[in-house]
Amino acid sequence: MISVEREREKNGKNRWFLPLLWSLWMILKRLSSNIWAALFHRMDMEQRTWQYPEEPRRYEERTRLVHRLVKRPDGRPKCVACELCSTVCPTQAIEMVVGDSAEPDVGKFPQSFAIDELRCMYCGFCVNVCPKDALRMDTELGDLVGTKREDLVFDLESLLSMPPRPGASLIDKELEAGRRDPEQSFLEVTQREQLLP
Amino acid sequence: MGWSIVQFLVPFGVMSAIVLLVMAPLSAWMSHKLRAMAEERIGPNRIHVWGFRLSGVWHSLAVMIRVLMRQEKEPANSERYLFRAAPYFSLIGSVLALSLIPFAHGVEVSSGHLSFQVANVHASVLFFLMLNVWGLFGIISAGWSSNKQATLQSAIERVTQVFVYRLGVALSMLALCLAYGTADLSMSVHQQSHLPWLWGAAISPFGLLLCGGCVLAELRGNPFADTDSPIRTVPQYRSEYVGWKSAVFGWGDTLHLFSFAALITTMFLGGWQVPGLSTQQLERHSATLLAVFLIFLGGLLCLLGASALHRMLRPAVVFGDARDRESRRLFPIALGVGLVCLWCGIWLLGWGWSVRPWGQVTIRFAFQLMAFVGKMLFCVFMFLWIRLSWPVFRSARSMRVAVLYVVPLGIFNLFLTLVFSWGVRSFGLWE
Repeated sequence: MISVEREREKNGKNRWFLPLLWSLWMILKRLSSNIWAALFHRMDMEQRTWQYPEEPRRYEERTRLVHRLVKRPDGRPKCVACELCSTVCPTQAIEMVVGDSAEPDVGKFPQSFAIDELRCMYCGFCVNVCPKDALRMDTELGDLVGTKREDLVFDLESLLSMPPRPGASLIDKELEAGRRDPEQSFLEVTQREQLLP
Repeated sequence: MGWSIVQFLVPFGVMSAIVLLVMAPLSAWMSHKLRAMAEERIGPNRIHVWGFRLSGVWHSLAVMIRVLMRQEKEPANSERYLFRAAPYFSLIGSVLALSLIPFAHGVEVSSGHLSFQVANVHASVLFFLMLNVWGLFGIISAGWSSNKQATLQSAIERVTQVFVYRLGVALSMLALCLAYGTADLSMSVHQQSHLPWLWGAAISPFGLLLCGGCVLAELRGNPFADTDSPIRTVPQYRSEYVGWKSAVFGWGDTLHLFSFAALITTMFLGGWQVPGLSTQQLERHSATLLAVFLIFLGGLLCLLGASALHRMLRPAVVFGDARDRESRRLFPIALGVGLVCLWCGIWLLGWGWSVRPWGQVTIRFAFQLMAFVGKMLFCVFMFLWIRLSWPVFRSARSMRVAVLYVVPLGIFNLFLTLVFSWGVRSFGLWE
């Protein structure tokens, strides 16, 4: 059993004003030392502080940011327009129009592909469900700015031209380590790892 | 232009300049920067003019421009005209009250007497408190016209609080009026004289504490804030206001703070009196005082130049624009002007030069104005300091304190001050 002795009972008097005076004194000390530092040691203060627009934000490798569509070696999108991502998307942020390709090695392809980044809640389901590793969320774009809503609906061209984040992404690391089979859907990987022990 | 217009326009212009050009930007800057310093942040330091950041003074101007660009919205089914007028109601009382404050000793010129007080009214202490109550019309009409129950309730709470705490202010003022034998603001400044031990703060220190606490409670600053959570910065009664009108409410609060800082300065801190130096002494020794002031200013500027030199030799952050060259530009300017001031001051001290009468009056006026503004800024700093340091009291608790303690303490202070000032008077210290 723990008995808590209150300050008031210990002192025998109600000294509520002491912490008030103490806080005044502490804040005055803090103010004066920081003003002196601002005059003569400002470099310390400015080095301790993260200078945001000049210094770009650093993201973890697992952070999910704005999407990009992965290209094949010849520049066409890897996407086979299976519509799994737009089906699984909880916020219905992905819209695509499926087209039949005339080329012999491609069955279907996305005629148009648009992701509304204002609707997206960055859950990453679309990336996990993609059977061809065609969609990833490893770009550098974390601060979305636009003057109109339409500015933040990214179409096929902009999604294809989005550069990946410098440094290896989590998916690439797993592929290198052999923990992921490039031919296998990530959904299957997830199922194998989590659902089937 | 008639003499009476000059008599009005000169003090009016100076008072407007004090409030708009000195107090408003400086106190906004002080509040932002001091809060940052207390919280281990840098605070405003981004905006620069030709590289000069000046620790973020420009941000007050930037806020003004940003507010002007904001979109205006009004709630549905509001009382439109009352809703639009309410911010200006809250502004106008404090502006009018500031016109009663004397900020320097009057001057005798060939055309007559020029008093540095916009409106010389009898019983101006009472009139001051009365004009300030105009702010309540702004609060209650904002609460009513927003067409929302929460705003009306918050407005009623706030008005009640202001009424109760105004009693404390009025009682502490009454004690001083009885001690000075006058209810006139400029007469009480003369009554306090240039000797700090005869000022209101020395005669009734308990009254100063009471008055300051009541003013803090009235302004609903941090220890008495009525916002219901720390992320809300605006009290409930003006929650329907956005953009320009909301900013006018904020300026109303700021001016309320200034007017009470001016009242406390005038009644407790000797008003425009320079401590230890009467008007005659200021005029007689004006050359020496100017020299001492120049030496002081030069020393400060040299300190600033030294700090700029320190930063020039060891730059901290590379911004990639004109801000990188700030200390390189500031160092020669501050050090040069500071050395010139020092040299002029020392030269003046050695020369022993006689100043013409109009020069004496001008120097004396400048010193008294600086004393007044400095005391006002000191009051504002005290309020900011308490707001930074103390936690928020519960609203219901603060009302209970008001009802149970403020009025009895005010009456107690009345007797205490009377007995003390009678003692001072009878021991001959008053002369």
